[in-house]
Amino acid sequence: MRRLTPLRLAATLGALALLLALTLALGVAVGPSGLALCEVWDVLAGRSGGAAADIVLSVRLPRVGLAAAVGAALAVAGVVFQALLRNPLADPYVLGVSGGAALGGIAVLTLGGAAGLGYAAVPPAAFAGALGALLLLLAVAGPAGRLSPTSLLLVGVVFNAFASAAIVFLASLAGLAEGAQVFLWLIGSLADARPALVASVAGCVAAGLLAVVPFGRALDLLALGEESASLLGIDTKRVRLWLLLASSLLVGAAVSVAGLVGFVGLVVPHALRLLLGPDHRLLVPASALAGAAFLVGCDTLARTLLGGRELPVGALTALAGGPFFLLLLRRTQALRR
Amino acid sequence: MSGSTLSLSNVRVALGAISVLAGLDLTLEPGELLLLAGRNGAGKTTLLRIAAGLLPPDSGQALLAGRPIAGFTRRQLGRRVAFVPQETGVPFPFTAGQLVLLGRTPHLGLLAFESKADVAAAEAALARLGLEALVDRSVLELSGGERQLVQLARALAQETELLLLDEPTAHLDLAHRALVLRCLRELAREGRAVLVVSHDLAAASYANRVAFLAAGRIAAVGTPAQVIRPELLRSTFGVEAEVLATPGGPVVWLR
Amino acid sequence: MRGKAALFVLSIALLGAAAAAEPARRVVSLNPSLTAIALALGAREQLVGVDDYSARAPGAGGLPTVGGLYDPSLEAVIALAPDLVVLVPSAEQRGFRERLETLDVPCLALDPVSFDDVLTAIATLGARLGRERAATARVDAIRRTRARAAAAARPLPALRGVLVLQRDPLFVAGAGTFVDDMLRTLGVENLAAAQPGLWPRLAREWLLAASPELILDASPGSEPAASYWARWPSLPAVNGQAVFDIPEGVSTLPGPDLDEALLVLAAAARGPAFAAALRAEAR
Repeated sequence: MRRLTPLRLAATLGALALLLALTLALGVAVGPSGLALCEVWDVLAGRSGGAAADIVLSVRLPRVGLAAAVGAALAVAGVVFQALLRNPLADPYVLGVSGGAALGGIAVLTLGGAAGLGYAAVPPAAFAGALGALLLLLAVAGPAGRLSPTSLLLVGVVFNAFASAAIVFLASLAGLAEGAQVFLWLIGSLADARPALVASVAGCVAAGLLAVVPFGRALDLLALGEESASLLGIDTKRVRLWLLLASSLLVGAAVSVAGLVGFVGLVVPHALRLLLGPDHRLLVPASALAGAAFLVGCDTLARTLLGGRELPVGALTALAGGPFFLLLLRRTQALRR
Repeated sequence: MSGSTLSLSNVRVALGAISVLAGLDLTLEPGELLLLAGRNGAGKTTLLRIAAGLLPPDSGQALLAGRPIAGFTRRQLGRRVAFVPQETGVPFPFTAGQLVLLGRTPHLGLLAFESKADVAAAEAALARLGLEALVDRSVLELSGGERQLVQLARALAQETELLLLDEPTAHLDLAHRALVLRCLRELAREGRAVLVVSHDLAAASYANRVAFLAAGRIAAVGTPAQVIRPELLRSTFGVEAEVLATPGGPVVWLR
Repeated sequence: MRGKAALFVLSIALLGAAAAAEPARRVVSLNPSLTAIALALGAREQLVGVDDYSARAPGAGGLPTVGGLYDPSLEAVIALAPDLVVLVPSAEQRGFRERLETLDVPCLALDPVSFDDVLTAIATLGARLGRERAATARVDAIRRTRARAAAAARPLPALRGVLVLQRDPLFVAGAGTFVDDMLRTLGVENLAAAQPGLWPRLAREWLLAASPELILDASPGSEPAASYWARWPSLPAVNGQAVFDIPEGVSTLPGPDLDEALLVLAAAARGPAFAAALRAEAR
């Protein structure tokens, strides 16, 4: 019988961890300023200073760390939402938490200047927006709707529509300059990799991941439906609430700093499910590792593909992820026949 | 009755302003296969949910092996009661084997993996229903009937004293229907208590007892021959029918 | 007006003191206006990097680029080892300036919004680049041209006009911008001045209701302004054939050539003869 054994779990996660380590090394070693590998090595060994040290330690290292944290957060949130909504095509932005984050961030971006708020206020405002959206979700879909997939989805879709409209409204009120800023913020970018900010995001992401990873089996059971899952030993309401809170923390932390980076939360879990099977005890930690590696890779490309010019990382995740995913789909379908 | 596996006395449940169960009494003994039938909306699913500990009755008693159902933890319940729902599409590509293994969850620790004994129990359950060939096939590719059988195998692998089934033969062809009903009868003979909610009165020939549910109460309960009678069919379902007694059990002809 | 002039003089005095400090030798400019100012002051040798848009300007060719207007690459800037980064704070993206300052890169934020702001920017940048004389000369020339234009326009009847930055959706120059200052210098009443914002986005209906006698169309469109705006023959500007194309760049860039920008606008608003006379006076 094909099933998940502890050996297979360890081996797969080990391989993915190695992949992540390689992409992290690549991310630190590569950049638009054309530093030679030996120069990078000198900086890491503590032998070198000056511009090279600034680039490697203050620019690339925090940015690569941020990419890893955001990638892991989005991929795991995607897995959890797909299980909660019992739909393999759900992505982490479907429940409105990201809409709230975007609205909070854009509100400060467009109106904050008048109140004397600089860009530093945007991530906290975005996180507050995410929390607000989550509270709304719990209040409306909670009691009567019992956090069922349908009620969650309905509230999420409606709230996202509202947030999008509000963002468009704010953007149209803003001048030409702010309009471009809003657009670029929404597309998603990992450029704001201030070390202090990266540390707090990494902390939130670590907390969220720790909260989700032990619930691998519970996520499997949720796929069987309410009654069966309950009788197989989980308190479905409490588990769903806990997972919703944890994954919303992940999404909120990711979006408040990076904007709406798309595709990671949908494609990474889905592709891993096709490759590794649907057992969530493997899928959750694997998604964290693979999501981190994927985003680090895409961001490295975004920074270096066009020399000095930075591409929006969301465009690359779609360009890289899309065709790869279609290929994977075709291969697995061909194998079935 | 302390020996009963399941004992519901004077159970009342109201959902909002609507009374669903109004003073219902029902017992199920070990080694017994009980077929529960009734009109749509009569409260059959609610009864199943009470028996599964998913819904506490507003008043009355619901006992499992003499103890109140509400007193069990979820894991304890999971080791004693298995539920096969009517139809749930599983959205992810689990294999049949993996799905059946999920039935072993109440026997595992929180972070534990399945042992060889668990795998053996799952394989035995699959074999009992003739599903060995499907063990590594994705459930998404199976027919509705095969998926239903896999769910039943999952409940078997759970190794419980009480089995609750909601329309288990709904999507099955005749051969599979016979297979399932024979299997359930064997399980009952082995000592388990099996409660089957079904529209399929032909299943009565496999059952020890039949109960009709109407207006939130048990309208009639007894052996198949005692309960499946034209006057009771008329009062419970509102149909005119003829009943033919055969050695295998009563056969119903709708007019 | 006078308050701003006083502030301007004070800034020059203070900057005179600052200019005694070492001029910047390795400058990265992240804004086309600031790049144009630096180039006009003869500081090409001191520029080591510019943003992509600045690179398109003649005279900036060959300089390394560090990214777009709103998404420059931090790494590319640091790699150039600048001793000064000049940028416009309102066009900043994601706390760029803060990160540069954390890495001990001196930044100079200039916001050339109004006419006097631009003059201050020229003076400040000139001081930091060690080009005070060129900066003062430029500023004086601009101020002289402006004074003469104002004097020449005073006896003329006031015109009700608007400068269009984009046709669809409609963006116009609002109050407080250098364009607005230039229009008022020429005796043109900026109809968009009552609207909030520096570059407000307005409905076409507003324009039709405002009935401008003069339309200065600086939008990037292949269709000539006269034929485009002829679709609304009720506009007095269309009737009076006072719809003019304003070439992009000079008059919409708050840069070093505001005197030339003023003359271009003058030619359209007050006629080629008016502008020619101003030009002749300059020589």
